[in-house]
Amino acid sequence: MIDVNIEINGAPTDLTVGDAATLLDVLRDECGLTGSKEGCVEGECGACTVLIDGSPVDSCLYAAAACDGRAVVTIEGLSTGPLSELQDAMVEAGGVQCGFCTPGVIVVLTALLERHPHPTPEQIRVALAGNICRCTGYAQIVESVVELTTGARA
Amino acid sequence: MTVAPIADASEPQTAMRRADGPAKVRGRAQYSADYAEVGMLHGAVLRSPVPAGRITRLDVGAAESAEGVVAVCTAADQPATRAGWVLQDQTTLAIDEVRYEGEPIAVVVAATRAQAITARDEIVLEIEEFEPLDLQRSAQDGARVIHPDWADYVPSMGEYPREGNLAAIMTSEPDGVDEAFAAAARIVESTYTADRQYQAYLEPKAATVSHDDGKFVVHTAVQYPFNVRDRVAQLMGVRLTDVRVIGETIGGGFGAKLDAAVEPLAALAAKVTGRTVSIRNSRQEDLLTCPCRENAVVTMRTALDENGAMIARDVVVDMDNGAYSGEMPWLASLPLHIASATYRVEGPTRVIARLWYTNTAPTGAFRGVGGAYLYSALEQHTDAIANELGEDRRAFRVDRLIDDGTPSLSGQVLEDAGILRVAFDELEQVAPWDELLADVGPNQGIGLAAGVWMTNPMPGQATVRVNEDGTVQVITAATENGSGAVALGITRIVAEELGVDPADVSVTMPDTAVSGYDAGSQGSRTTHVVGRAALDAARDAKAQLLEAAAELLEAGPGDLVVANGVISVAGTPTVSVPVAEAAAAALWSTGPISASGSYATPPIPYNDACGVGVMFTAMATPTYHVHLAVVEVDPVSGRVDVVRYIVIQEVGKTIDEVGLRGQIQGAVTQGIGYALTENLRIGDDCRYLERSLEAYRLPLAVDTPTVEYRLLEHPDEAGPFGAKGAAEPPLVFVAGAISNAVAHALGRPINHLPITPEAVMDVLDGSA
Amino acid sequence: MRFERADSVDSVLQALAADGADVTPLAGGTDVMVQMQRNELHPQRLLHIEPIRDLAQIRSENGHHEIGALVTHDDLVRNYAESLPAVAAAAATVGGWQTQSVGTIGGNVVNASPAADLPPVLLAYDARVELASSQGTRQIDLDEFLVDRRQTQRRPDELLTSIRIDANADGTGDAYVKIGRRTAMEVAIVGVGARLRVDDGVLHDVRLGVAACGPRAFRARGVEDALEGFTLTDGTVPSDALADASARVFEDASLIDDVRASANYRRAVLPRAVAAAISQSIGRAISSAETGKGAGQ
Repeated sequence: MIDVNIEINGAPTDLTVGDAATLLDVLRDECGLTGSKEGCVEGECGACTVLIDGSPVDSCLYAAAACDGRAVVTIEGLSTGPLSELQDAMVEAGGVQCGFCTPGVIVVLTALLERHPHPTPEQIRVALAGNICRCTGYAQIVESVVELTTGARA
Repeated sequence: MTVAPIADASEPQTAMRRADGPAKVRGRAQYSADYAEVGMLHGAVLRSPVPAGRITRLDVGAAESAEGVVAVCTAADQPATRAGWVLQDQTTLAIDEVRYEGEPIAVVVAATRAQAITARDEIVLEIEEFEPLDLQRSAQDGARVIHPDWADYVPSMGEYPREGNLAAIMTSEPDGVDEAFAAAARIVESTYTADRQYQAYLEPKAATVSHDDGKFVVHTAVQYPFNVRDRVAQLMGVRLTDVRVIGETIGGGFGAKLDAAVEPLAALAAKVTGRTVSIRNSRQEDLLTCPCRENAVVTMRTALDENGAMIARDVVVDMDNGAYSGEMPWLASLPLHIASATYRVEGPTRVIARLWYTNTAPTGAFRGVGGAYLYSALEQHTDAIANELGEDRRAFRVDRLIDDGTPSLSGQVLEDAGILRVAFDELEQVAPWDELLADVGPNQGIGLAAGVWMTNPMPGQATVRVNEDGTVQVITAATENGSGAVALGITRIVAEELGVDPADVSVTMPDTAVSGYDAGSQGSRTTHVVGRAALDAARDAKAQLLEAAAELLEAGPGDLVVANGVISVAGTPTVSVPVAEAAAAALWSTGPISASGSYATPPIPYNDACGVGVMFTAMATPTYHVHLAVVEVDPVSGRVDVVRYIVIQEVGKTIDEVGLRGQIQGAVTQGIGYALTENLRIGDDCRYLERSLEAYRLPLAVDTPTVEYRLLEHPDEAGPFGAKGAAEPPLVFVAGAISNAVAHALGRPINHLPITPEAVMDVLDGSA
Repeated sequence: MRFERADSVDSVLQALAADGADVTPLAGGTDVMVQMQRNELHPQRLLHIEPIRDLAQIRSENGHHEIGALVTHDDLVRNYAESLPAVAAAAATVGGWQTQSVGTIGGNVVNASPAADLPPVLLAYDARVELASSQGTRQIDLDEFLVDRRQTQRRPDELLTSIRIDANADGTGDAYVKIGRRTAMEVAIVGVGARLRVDDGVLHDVRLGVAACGPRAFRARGVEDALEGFTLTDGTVPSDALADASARVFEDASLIDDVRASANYRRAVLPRAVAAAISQSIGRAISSAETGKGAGQ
């Protein structure tokens, strides 16, 4: 076991974690933050995506101990008040069906919009390459971002 | 917000915020693995590492004494019952034989999941292996019988033809087939094969079960809670209602979550330990044991006369059941409905459909079931015939389309099959065929697929309550598997009928102790069947509401209208009362407002002499579809990209267009995966070659086209506002359209699904 | 298994000197953590080196690029899209954004998967790796550094600290061609990195790296020989000559069947991918000369 201090959704948090414990397991089992999902534990599906120091990372493959002194933001950290414009747009445009991929998608798109406030559809798709959605076929997810950032309704 | 009414076709629909959307985008929706009880234990399942054999040693002692372990369950702990949806051939844990890689043998129960997994590795398991049988070997004369006691197994819904490794067989053998072939001017024959497809929902299966006083409470995310209830009850040897299934949010199912999976394992563990036990699959466990769309071999022969008319057809289908029978024996009849669908065969069709036990994971339903490969075979065969006759592929089809009143091979009269022609005409408006052909680029090809699909007719129920604050509660066991059938469909239907804002309509999660029977989210049935039940209930509730309002407004109920949460006298909007007030007043006058509706599609007449072993007799509430694909082949890699995809779909009535579009886009994407990227192969040793999401490649955002679609609306009298089922069919025709497009691009067909870059490269390289 | 934090290169080198065989350096973990999940790797001590920012520098000076081992794929995509397109292109295909955020060039090279994306491009760039130990540092050509599947010349007491590639002269063009079932998230079935220079219609300094067609990424010297000094016709290599040259890749390839593809498929696709990489490089070289903007300066 190893002691760490991780800033989780803005709150510095002391934790004692297993040496091999993944960030995902610690977030879900120790911190009660079950918004990040376990979909594959092989870095393929992106349902576990969180931001570490602002960058999207698959938390299922990242050691919790490696987050000592760093800032982790989960879907919960992006959802503290009313729905964000991105979240609102995602629901309205039909980008949410079963919702299991949705937290990871929202996290990645939040990081994308930080980097590219007006991303092209191609940029959105490339950014989402590491997020599998089995339900929507992606089109409405991509369009929700385009509509949001251009104000255009398809 | 005001949402444009369903019934008013002149106003474009405003997007309705789906009821479960906000929780899902916040990460607050509770899926099965998110449900937890304080002090619950965790189970880890010991699964067979080999596809077939006899267990010669199972030593759990070391596991029992491992750290944190409370118990290890084995077959000795389970009731001596067998269970199954159609045939009772399954047990919770393997008794002395294992029949597929992944079959459960024991459950280790510990304080933490990690401890259970570690302890599981301590179990000593020895298996004397048998030669595992795949589809080809199982069907051979003299093959080892995988279920020696097959004759003793009890069918759940009536007996059907089966014997030895033949898990089910359906035959339809009208006279005259051989004669027609003997007299044919030409015969076209082809054989098509398809690999399995894994549903690959993002949420691996999980369940949490408690056992008290002989009763089980099961928290799980499943598409058919009542069926899971039945399976757990059968396996645990208790009455149906001694099992209560409470539904959690489903992270995708696509048919794989219609039947029990980890629930019986957790139930057994709960019974043995007297504690609540939670079990969840790793992704690998989930992939290895999922009831996938079956692999199959389809041979089609058509006899043609000198005028190019199709005068007879002969179809043989061999399907892989896997080691145990889930829903598959029912589905073995599907070939009868597709063998000569869509395009007129002016003569008899013989269909033989055989379902075989093998030493592989049991197969089951995946959106569109066998239709996905059956229509692909039919459509490729149709192209082959058109090409043989030198006819344009579209003209060939349109000239032979079935029409209103055409009977299917089961004798079902397809009363509105003429919609197929309307659909072809609509497609021609969107993408004129001759223009497509003229513009087709190098390495590109165009393909068509069309046909009929169904809306599952099984029963559903809903209760509608109008609350004292004007909100509405719908109580139903219908499941929201993500499609929006509940969060959009049922919600909007009830809101529309009662004249309230959809945001004020709330639908319960399923609970088999509370809600009436529902046959699950399958076969696109929820919006149509449960929507109808909910509509009937809402109508009744509305009548009660208007009766209460009539008293307040001193008017006749027949003079009142409801809109935007307000009840007013028609034509005199100032004489009004809010729904809330009327509902509250009702408590003391007419009684709390509550009404129930129940519906199942009436049985469809068919010819009961159409065949032997026909378990699936008609396509209820049929819908008609035409798909077109444009593909481009990469000459460097053999990869196929879908550059354009068009869906023309009959829906009866659009309840929510955003939701409907999501079903079309999502289903087509799954179909593209089926046709091109997803490959689940069974090795000679009956083990899957692909065992992770790295190897089992799902379509990604970067590869997926935006599907163009047009919706046809020929309202169904029985459906809510005329709606028919819509979610399954957009997958069914994709492989056919893409296969035909690839064949067009390459100049020769590839008769296997998926069409891999390898297969394409064999053609490009000249080595095919 | 013990998780340990390292705060400086020196502390890492000390740990490796003392206990190299039992210490696994951990950067972004996108290979190590996956292997641990699959039970393919059982480290005794995981030494977390990600916080050592000294190792994450990119220096471009004196005619070469010095890329720190902890430079992430995302850093490569953002810094080199214009100047080293093939390096950025290869980095952009290592998984998705989530992998590229934390996956490093050092990890990709040291893990030495035969199908890794960066090695074939780095080979085409005559890359040299720098290895540090408590005894000092040494540089070694990447071509020599890669030994076999998952095996390199790194001694247990050594840490890969940086990778050096020369800046490109005028008229250089490069390309990375990756063959996979989908366009992202793929482990390469065939990977080809190419770099060459066009001077007055003649090909010079032709370099070709190939991955996923042998136990380690290799230089396709037969192809390079065939094309070195080749005079272009209308800015291209005529298709017969290109096919012949590409076919020489089989002199160094060793093709196998695996779950991703058959040897047969690779045999058909490899020369096509080589030809495509060469054509793309020539196209880039010519257009860079035309715009006066040299690649990789």
